[in-house]
Amino acid sequence: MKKALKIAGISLGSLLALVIIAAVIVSSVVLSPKKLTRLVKKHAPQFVTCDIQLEKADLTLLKTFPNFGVEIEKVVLINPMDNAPSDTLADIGQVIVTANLKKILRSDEIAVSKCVLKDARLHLFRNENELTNYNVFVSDTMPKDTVGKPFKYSIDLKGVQLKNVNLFYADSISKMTAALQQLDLNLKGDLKEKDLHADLDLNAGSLDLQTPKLTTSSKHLGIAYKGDVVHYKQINGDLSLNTPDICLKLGEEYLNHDTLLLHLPLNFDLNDMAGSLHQAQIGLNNYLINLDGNASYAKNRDITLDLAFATNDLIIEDVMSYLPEKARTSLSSMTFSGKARLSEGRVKGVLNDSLMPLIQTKVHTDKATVDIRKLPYPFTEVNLDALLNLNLNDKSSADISQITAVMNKSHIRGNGMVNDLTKKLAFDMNVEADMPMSDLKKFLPKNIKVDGQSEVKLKVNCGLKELLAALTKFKFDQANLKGNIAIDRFAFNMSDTIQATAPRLKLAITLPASRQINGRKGVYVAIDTKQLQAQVGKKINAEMTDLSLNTTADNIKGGLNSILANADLTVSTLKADYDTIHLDTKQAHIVATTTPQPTKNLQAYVVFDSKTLTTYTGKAYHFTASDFDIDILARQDKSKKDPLNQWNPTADFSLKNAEVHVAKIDNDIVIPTINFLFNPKELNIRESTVRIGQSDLSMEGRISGINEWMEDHNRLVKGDLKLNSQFINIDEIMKLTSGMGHSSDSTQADAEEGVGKEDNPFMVPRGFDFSFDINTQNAIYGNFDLHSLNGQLTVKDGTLVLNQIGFTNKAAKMQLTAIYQSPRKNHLFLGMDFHLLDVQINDLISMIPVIDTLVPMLKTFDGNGEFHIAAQTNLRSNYKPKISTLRAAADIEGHNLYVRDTASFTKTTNMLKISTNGEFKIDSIDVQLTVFRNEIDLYPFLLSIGKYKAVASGRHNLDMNCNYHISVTDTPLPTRLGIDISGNMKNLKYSLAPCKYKNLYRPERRGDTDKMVLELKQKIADALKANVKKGNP
Amino acid sequence: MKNRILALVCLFLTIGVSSCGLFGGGEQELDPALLVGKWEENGLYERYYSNGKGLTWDTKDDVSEEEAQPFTWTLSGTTLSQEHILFNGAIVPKIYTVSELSSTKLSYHDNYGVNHYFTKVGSK
Repeated sequence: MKKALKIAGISLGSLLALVIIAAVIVSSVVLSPKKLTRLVKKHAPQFVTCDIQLEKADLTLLKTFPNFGVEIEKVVLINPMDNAPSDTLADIGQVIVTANLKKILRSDEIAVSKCVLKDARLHLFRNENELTNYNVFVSDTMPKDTVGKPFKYSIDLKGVQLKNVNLFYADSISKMTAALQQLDLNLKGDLKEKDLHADLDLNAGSLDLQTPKLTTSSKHLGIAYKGDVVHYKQINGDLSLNTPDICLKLGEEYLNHDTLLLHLPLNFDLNDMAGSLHQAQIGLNNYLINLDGNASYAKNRDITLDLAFATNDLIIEDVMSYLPEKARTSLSSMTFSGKARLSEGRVKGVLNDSLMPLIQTKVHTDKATVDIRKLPYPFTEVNLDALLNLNLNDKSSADISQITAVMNKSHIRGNGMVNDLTKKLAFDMNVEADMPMSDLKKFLPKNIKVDGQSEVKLKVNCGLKELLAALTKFKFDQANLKGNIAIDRFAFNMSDTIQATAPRLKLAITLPASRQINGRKGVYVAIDTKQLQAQVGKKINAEMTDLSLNTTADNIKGGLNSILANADLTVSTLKADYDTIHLDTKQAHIVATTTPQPTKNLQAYVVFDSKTLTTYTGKAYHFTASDFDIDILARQDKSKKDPLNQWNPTADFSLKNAEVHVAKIDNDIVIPTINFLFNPKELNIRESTVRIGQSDLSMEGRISGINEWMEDHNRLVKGDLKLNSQFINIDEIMKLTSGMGHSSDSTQADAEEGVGKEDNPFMVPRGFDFSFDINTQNAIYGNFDLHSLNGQLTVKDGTLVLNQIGFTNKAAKMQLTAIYQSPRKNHLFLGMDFHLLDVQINDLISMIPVIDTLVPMLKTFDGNGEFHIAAQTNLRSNYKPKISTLRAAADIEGHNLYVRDTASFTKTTNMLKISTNGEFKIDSIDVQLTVFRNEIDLYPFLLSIGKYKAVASGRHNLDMNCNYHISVTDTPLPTRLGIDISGNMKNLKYSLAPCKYKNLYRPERRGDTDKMVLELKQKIADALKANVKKGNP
Repeated sequence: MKNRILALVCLFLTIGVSSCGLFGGGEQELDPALLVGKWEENGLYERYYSNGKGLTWDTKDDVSEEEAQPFTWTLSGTTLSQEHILFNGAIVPKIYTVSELSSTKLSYHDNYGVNHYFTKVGSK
């Protein structure tokens, strides 16, 4: 700059000297213009090193009196250089110079009082070797040969004028070109030696300047400068610049046809290339920037700035357009409007090709608007007080002392830092908000609605992009946020399927969740509330108190189907209703994990434990447990319509000290412990102890088909269970299970089929196919005491089967196979296959009184025997047999039996001439009998009494009328007698009769009929004994 | 005279052989096909199938045909054998002597003098 000014000064001085010389010549010798022109041309090379041409030189004494002047027309300087845009350095239409003739004459000083250049065209050029085409004037030399001594010269620049000058400059080193056209300049000042006092008024039609990195153009440029240039090195003065149309592109476009006004009171040292501004102003369009400070320019082209600045109110949209493109790009996701003001600003640092100075300023906005496109609502009424640190070399930041804004109906306050302002927009802020929850609506998936009034306190420590990704895309892992939200009148609704309300609810949120819990992804949310009511579907209602929920969730965008969630819930009380089922639990703890599956179905793992749990259905069922644990793994199947049926849970239940009260049964069911695994295919009871009334049961095994039964009640629930017990009251168990699976509304049907009101027969459960492997030490059934009872019990859709149940009592070792069916209350079916080995006959009759009805003669004996009976009949609702359906077959064997009815025995033996020697004893009997309806037929059987043998047979009816016959077949006597016994059992008639069966037990004499009788006996006996299980009883 | 006495003895023997027997039966051959069908005696029904199977039920006891009990039967001479098989395979045999069997009437009795008189109410 200094060099340019020096060159310009020298050039101007030299040019003036040329004119002055001409004037001096003229002032010495009055010449005609022609001579004067010739003289100027002759002496010009002494001042100008290049070729110079001029058309005419003339004196202007009269026009410039009292000064004299020289007017030269059409001056052309030609200085060709390689690569120069033009050979012509200057093409000047007219040059007028006036000088004080007295000073020239008296003090050898040329005092130029006016200089005018008109219609000039200048082509300045510098090549790569720093040679210029305008360095053509002989510096510091005056035409000594011509005037004999050197001149001092001074230029009183009160009259320096340029009119219609076009200046073109090209610099091969800096690759700069400049064009200043239609330049009019008025310079009033003094140039004394190296001191210049100037009052410059410059107007140009246009100025175009271009370097490889900078392009600027302006039109109607006006520049005014008033001040001094001392020794070509110190500029002190006021510089003003204005242009209504300026463009500036420095890599990117900064100014685009803007209006620029500059007022720069400056002091500038050209040696140091350093200066200062005091109360300078820059006006850009409607904006005004006040500047104070220092600037310097180093040889390495560094511009060092230290400037303070402030602005008037700025329209933010306009300001944004002046920001560097990088900054604009980083802010492209948002738009700004409103007013802002910068104050206490400072630009400090180096400006060069690679560096930008630091800019620090306070920013204040008033009711501005920020619209972030990805957010559903703009921030309005944004009042910001911040300190902006703009570092375009690295990262910029804003220290926000306070910001308030309104987002829809939410009022937001904040403070903190925004770092990396031009790129990442990284927030480190504390934000508070009074927010209606409805404002969150557009942030949430469409199927989620929330309501309530919240107080929000957040600490945000992440970038805008990450924050927006968290808020709008639910991508939480890159965000960094902690917050507390207190919500009054909270309401939540997801797809009208899950609804929740709470009077006041506190939320703590952490993003990412890993900041709160290592290894977790997504968002961490902790919820605390004194009371929460929830509804799931139309059937589940729940109310919780003192709820504390800690949860992490990821993949929220896809809704529940893809959510990856971990939840840990504790509640003091939980009351829930599902349809008619009520649940009440205290100190409940639920841990749940959901995992999305590739099939887009959800998998959930839930652990539930509770100190007390109560469930009931009206007064019909009531369940309590003091210690309750469930582990549930549930997989969703969205092909099912009912939301509850969509889940296929696998549940591991463990509970202790539970009680079940069923209104229809007298005794509560006590469950000291039970542990079972439930899944859609089966229920696996791994361990259980249950007390039902007097019975204690230990059960394990598998129950399957529950899911199929849920879908189709015509299908059977199947079970395969082992049941061990110390004691079972079978009556109680039957009462408990009676009627399960039957229609509950059977009163009318019962009346129609003649069921007595008092009748309540055991109805075998329907819908079940259960097999019990029973092993019990003791049991009672009515008056029946049983011991060591073991075998298999099956219940299959209304049919109960006791299969080869072995047991003992004081009377016998027993094996029972029985079938009981209850197709309808007044038509029950009972079938028995009963084997008693080593039975005490007397006890047998007392134990099973019906035996006396079927075999009345048995009661006349006492002793041990073996008894096999198969019987079946249909029963009425009061368990009375339908005699028409009664069928039975029995086999009785006995040895060494004592006769209890000694009177009848004596009468019979006397009539048959059988000597008993006073003993009332029968050595053996082997009886087969059948029962058909009311007819009981005793097939002929052998009685052994000492040396005697007799065969007895006959029939008696259930009305106790009988018709028996006894034949003596072996006797020491010569005759074999027979006896008929008939009549009612209480009043029997005895009469002698022929011996019927003398050959029945004599194979060699046995007839066909005897054979057939024996075959039938054998067939009956074989069929009965075929079912006796080996080793049992 | 001797020949007459001998002939009389033979006649008695013939009659005795043909009519005697503990469980009834005799020389008369009855057509089992006549037995096939549904018979009724005061609410007591018996149905005989040609394959030797049968059903019995008594409506006086609130038992319908659908709830009837099965048996197998054979008819040999006048001896009607029924074998009622219980649920567990045990059997209750019943042997009757048929007194009359026609397309409409069936009567039989056992050795204890219990008689049944059925009327046919269905041919199948």
